[in-house]
Amino acid sequence: MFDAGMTAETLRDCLLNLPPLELLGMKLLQDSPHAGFFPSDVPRESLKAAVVEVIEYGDRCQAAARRLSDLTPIPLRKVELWEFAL
Amino acid sequence: MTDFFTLKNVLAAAINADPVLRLAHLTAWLDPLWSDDEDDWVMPQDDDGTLAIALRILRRAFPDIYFEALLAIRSGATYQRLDHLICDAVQLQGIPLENLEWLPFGIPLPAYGASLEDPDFYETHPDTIPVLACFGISPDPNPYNVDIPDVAYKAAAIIADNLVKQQNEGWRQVAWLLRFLFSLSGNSSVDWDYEMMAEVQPLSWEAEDIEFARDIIEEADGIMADVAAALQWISQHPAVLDSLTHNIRKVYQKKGKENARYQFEWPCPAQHDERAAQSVA
Repeated sequence: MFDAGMTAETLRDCLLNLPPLELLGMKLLQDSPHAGFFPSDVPRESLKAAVVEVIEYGDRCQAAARRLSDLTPIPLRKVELWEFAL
Repeated sequence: MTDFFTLKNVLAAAINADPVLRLAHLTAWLDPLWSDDEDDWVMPQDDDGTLAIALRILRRAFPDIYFEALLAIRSGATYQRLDHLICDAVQLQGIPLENLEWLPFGIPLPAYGASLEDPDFYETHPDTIPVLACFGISPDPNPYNVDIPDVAYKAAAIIADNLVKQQNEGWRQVAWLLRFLFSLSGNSSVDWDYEMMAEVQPLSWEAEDIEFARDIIEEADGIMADVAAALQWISQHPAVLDSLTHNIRKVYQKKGKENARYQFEWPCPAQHDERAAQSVA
């Protein structure tokens, strides 16, 4: 990836430019601001869709975290760590 | 008290105003078991962990039932209420779950299988005795163990294969009756009794297995409906048994050889009944 011209900075910019993920559950909570902690007036079909979505989202996050933890370390040769020298 | 509720709403609004806190709020609301934390296994009225395991299975297999169960737990439902709620909901999905305790063992399949060697079968299925008598099978000679000759299975297979091609629906249903009685249907739920089913690794609660189980159950229900219809048809037209006996004898005479040429006759029972009435007149 880095050999193809991608730097840590461009990768960061790329990730920051990703559009935010719209989760139905987030919208349901936003739309029911005065319904207490757990809204109770949400239609069943919307709830079902939100539960399925949040479970899948959680699975994807956990899978991504696992993959990131297994990445081979990449030496950052251009970064100077003066604290290390001290 | 009013202040307390106001405070709660203000707190909830503050949480929802922050995207990260709102995501945490969302997870606590819709998927509290997401991290499979050790503490999440402790649930009220669930000493042996049955409910905790059930919720984890439902979370994967039926997320909507999982959430219904969470709502019930939050509203203080008893274990018995949850058991009913979950079993009823899973049954609506086409899986016959009778008890929550069965859930961790895999998908429960019905086991209709006929155990012809077991004398109890004839007590629980007395309407099949006249049909089995056509094959020379009866529990009477030895009430403790019924001996079924191999040729009976061969004859049942040959006759059923022929009957299933008949135009008359009644005869086609008799084909499925024979396949049920001699465990020849190719459907595990129809061919296996509970003892046999218990020896086989059950299907898991993965999506593919659930779909497969639904197909098996749906097909089994169709076959068993044909079996019931065939038994009723036979009870209305006893002459069917004469034709059956006559054709089974033909197979027995050739010792059930598959390649032998058989000339079967399957008269329409209505015509047979008419002839019988005319001869009496």
